This record gives sequence, C-alpha cells and structure tokens, in this order.
Amino acid sequence: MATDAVGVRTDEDLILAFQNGDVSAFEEIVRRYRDPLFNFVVRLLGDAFFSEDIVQETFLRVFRNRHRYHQVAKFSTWIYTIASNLAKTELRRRKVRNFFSISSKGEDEKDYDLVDSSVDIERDVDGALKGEVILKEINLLPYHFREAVLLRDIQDLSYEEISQILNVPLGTVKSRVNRGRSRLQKKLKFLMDEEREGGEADDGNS
Amino acid sequence: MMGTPNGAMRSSEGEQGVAPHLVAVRSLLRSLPRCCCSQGFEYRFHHQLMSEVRGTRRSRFERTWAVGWAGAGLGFAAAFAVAVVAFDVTTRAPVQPQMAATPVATVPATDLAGTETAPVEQLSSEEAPAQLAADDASKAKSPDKDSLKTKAPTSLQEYPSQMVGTGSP
Repeated sequence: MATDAVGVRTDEDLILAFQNGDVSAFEEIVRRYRDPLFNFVVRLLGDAFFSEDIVQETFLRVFRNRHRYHQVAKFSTWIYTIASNLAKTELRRRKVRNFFSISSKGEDEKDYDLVDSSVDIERDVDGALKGEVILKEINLLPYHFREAVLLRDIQDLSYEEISQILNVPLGTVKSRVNRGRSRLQKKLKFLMDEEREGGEADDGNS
Repeated sequence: MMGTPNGAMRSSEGEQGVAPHLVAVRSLLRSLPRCCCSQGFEYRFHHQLMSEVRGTRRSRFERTWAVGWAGAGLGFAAAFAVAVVAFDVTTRAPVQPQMAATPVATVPATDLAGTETAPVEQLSSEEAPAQLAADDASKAKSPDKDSLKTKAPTSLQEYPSQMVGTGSP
C-alpha cells in the first residue's frame, strides 16, 4: 500500500484495512489520533503522565479488539468511547485510593509540549497564563460537564457523536454542554472582558 | 489539525441557537493551545505493543501445554480401561465364606457387667456343622426373640434381668 494513498483514506478505511492484516493502517491510526486523544484525556485528568498511559492503553485495546469494530458507528466515536471509559476508570480508581500524583503539575510546571504557534514572547506568556486559568476552571467543573464541554469545544465533535460516546440522549448532551459553558462563563468573565477591551484598544489605535 | 475527511479534529461546526456569551466561551476554549504527546510516546507504545504480541504468543504456547496435559490424562484413562477389559483386572476380590472349624483356645465369656460366666465350649470339627444347623433351626423357630424392635412391651416386662444382663434376680 502506498504511503501517500494512506493519507487520504478515511478512518473507517484504515480500520478495515487493519482488520484485514494491514499493520501500516494501524500505524496511521495511531499517528492520527495520538495527539487529539492526548489533548482530550490530559484535560480530563489534568495529569500528563497518566494521560499518555491511557492513550497507549486505548490504542492497545483497538489493536486487541480490532475485529469487534463494525461500521455501524464512526471509528472516531469508537476510539473516543474507549478513551473516555478508561479515563473514567482512572478517575474512579483515584477516588478510591485518594490519589496524589507526583507528576501533577503546579502553577509553573508543564511536562507536555505545546505547539509553537507564535514567535511573540509576550503574547506567548499571556496565552500560557490564560491557558492555565482556563484549564484550572475546566478542572473545577463537575465531571459530566467537563467531559461534554471538552468533547464539543476542544475536540470539535458533533452533538450526535458525543451522545454516542457518552451513551446519553442528545438533549442531555446539549444540556451538559450549555451548563458547563455557563459555569465557565461566570468564572472566566474577566478574561473575556479583558480580551474584548484589548480588541477595542487595538481597533482604536489602528 | 488533521487533514483527513473525518479526522477527530475537524473544523468547527457553527453553533446555532446558542446565546452569544456562551459562544464566546466556546471560542475561548478553542483558543487553548493544543497538547501533544511527549517525544518518548512512540517508543513506549512500540515497546508495549511488542510485549502485547509476545504475551499473545506466550498464552497460545501455554494453551498448547494445557491441551497436551489433557491429552496425556485421557491417554492414561483409556489405557486403564483397556487393561481392565483385556486382562480382567478386577478391583473387588470375591468374598469367601470363612468358618473357624476349631477354636484355638477357650475364651472366657463375660457378660455386660463383667461377671465371668461359663467358658465357651470347645467344638470339634465334626460337631461344628451340627451345632450351626441347630442354631439356625432355633433362630428360625423364634426369629423375634432377640429383636428389641419386634419385642412386645409385655415380654420386656417379663424378663427385666435379661435386659441388663445381671443374671437371675
């Protein structure tokens, strides 16, 4: 199978190829979903070390149970369901053991890599601080709201997909997303006001 | 971002019917920097995957061993069955009726209270069958004589001393 041909194939094509014994298709799946899954899980758990473990376990389960996937659901839905269930199990285990992770980051620490999107240091620092504040507030949300908001607003999944992943009705998903956003809006109002003021000032200067 | 038709990270769909302040939250969340896995992720995953594959092979190997042991057990069982049929090996020995023709010594008979009674008479081999036949005949005549179950209460009242074995009153 040509490498460039793999790039244009859908996820469903890839898993089908993997079911038929094409290991390179599995490698492509890992490449595609590695960062998005990590992005989702690390914000759900707030712990990079365990999040990587969960992402790895997700891929191992896909590897082990590849023949259980049937094309009635989208592959993305299936793999997010696995990751979400594993994250939930991890959180439950932490509650039972009264978990304290030595890899949990403090205010100034971060052990996962951020994409370098800008060369403007001041803006980077501002963005990083803002990101910290937002993440802190996300972590304070109740689990059901956090999960729904992350899947919708950070992972950009549709409400229908989220409904399938979380195995709850569509209306419940919408309600959870809206309630989560409302809570965040109350907490992050000052950030949004700052942004608005900054934007207006930039417009006035120009 | 993924350049795939239905990748996990697709372009945002419009939010319709949502209050503007909530849409602002959505854009704020979408502005968060993306996290990436650490450099060693692929190496560790590859390592795990290899151990997974090895583990699968090992379990198959163990299954083969289990099947082998089960086969050996079945083989032994079959061999035993064949041996029983072919060589007529029986686990039960026939019970032969045994009769002591001549007692070696006289055993002093004692009753329940420990009082010594008359010793058992020595029987010669000629007397023994006749004596046994006489005993059988007496049992046949009064089969319920010694049975407490079948003995009537009145008869129990008649011989109280015989029950406790203290001899005649």
